[in-house]
Amino acid sequence: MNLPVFLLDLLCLPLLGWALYTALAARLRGLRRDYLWCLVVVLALRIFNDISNVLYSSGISAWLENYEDYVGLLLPVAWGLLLLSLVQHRARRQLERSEERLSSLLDALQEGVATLDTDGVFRFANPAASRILGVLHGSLPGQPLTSFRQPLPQHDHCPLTFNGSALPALHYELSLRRPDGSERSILLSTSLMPRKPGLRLCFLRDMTEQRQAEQSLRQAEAKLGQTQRMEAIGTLASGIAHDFNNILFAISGNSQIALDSEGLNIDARESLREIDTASRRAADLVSQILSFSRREQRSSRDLAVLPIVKEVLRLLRSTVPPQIRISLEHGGDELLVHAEPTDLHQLVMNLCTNAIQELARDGGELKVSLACAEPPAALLAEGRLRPGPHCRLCVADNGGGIDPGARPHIFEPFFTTKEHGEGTGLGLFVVNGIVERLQGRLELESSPGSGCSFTIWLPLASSLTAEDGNAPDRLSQRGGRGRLLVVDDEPAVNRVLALLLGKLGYEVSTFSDSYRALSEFQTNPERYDMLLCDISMPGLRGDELVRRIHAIRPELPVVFCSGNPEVLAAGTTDELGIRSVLKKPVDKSALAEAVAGCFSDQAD
Amino acid sequence: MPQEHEVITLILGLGVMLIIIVQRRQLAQLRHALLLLSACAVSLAAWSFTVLEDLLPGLPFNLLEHTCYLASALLLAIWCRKHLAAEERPA
Repeated sequence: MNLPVFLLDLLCLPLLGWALYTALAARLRGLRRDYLWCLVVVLALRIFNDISNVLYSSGISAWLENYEDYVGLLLPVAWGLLLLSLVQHRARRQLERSEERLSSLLDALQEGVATLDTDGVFRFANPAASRILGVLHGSLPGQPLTSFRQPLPQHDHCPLTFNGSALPALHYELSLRRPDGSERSILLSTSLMPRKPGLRLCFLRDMTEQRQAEQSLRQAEAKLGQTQRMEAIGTLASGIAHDFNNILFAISGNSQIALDSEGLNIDARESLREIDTASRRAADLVSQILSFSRREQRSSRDLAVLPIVKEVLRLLRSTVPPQIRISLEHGGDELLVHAEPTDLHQLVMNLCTNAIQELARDGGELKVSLACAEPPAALLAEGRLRPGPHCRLCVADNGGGIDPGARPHIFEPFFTTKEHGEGTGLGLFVVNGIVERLQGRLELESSPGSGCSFTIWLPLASSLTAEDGNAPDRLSQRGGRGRLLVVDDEPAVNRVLALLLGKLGYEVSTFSDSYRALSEFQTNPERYDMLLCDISMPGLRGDELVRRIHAIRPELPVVFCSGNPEVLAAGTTDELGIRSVLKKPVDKSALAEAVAGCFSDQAD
Repeated sequence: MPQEHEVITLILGLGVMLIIIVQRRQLAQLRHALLLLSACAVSLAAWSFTVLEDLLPGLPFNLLEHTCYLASALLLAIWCRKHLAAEERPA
């Protein structure tokens, strides 16, 4: 008996037995592996060999030795099968994991992935593709892509079946209709699948939100561009207003002086009136442009709207042809809004003037209505208006209406559909600007041939103390006696002022240089009864000149006469004790009123 | 002289070694592959010693052969325990 060999073989048995038990127990616990039976066979053959060896070594029996030779041949074969089945199992597991990973990716993708056959029928679709097309996941295979197609002519060039299409890749965007009726803008990209003839891989991306966002962005850009254009116009207007009004004042002033002359023939007088009218229209134009360059705090107050509307209509009735009927509807409520009187005046005037010009050819009716009303929900949803009662001003006519092509542009500056010379293209531009400034909303309803209606919603003022925005014009030509110091950097303006004031009975000393004027005043401070000066002047500005003169004679009354009074900082007129601010081109009567007012205050 | 069935077993064992060489990348990725492949290699060594025992009498090849059987049984048992336990664990 070979004892070491016997012991070695004996030791093998419990190890192999334990291994066999482990394998069988795992199988009984439910572990299903193909290689498990190969392992059991290997272990069983090894146990058979070891038992045979133990029995042979111990000399108990040698009968198993006869079989061991043949069983031993099976052992390498069993080993080989075990290794191969392990490799196969490993490969299968890898394939399963790969499929699982691919499936997870396709499920997690936000982009639709599908395969289509040559007839455009879905063969496979991931959940995102089903979601994009609005169908339940799993129901898409078998459905043709054409069942979602919108019958739109612009999609005729977009193929939805691929018979005979050898194009490797196709990309196009089209509008598809979901089963629930909603329309989606879908970007479709298809390409031929390698090794899969007759199938195309298809990517679907829902572009609806992106297209809506792009549309919003384009609108915002257009609005920004419009705002920038307005800003540029405002800046330009502000820059030229002063000089331009000086020129206009020289024109209108001289024409007024000439009109007062005796011995003019009728034609010359008519020409002078035309010059005066034209210069006033030019001044109105500058004033309208300037209303956009005002960036400083304006002196708004709570105003009753109805008296202003009535005043404007009263003015218009006297000028419109008889074939145009004007009517006003109002509930009699005292509607107060926080605004400047000129703004409200301009709003109503511009809208009514537009309507009258439209009705001028064939006649018709201009309806103005004023009411306290709640804005519609659609307007409130825009967030521009707050819930609650608003002042609703509606100006409607039954004329030809606005051409749909012109509608997007009607609020642009200098856009006009009128004949050359009839309109400036600033009316609606100004109206829109005023409404925006008053935090209101402007609505337009129009269709060609059935008239046009502008509805303005303005927030009501909380204050109950209203001022009548239409203080009656106090036209007077009061003359007077006194000596005026007139300072303006424009000699033509100085000349006009000297002539106008001279005709009213005043003694006038004019200066184009503000430093020279100051020097003159310092020399003879008691000689002058009043100072009339421009604001924007080279060298010493008007406000600074007033400060220095008031340092010598604080009680001297001062009137500013400027082409652009808005350049003056808010509160400066009160600080300097300015009696009046006149805007060039100033009317003769307004000039007389302002100067006479100063002298009457002095007398009081 | 070596017996015929011993030589055939050795040749088949070399065939198993060929499988290991060809599929080495896949086999290397198996759990505890070193234990399994070592058990297989030690078995092959045991079959080699069986043949050498007949060719070179006088040397202790018989003892080496049975030592290899024991080592192979030990490695196979450990691999079975570790591998099957890992397979039974939920993924």
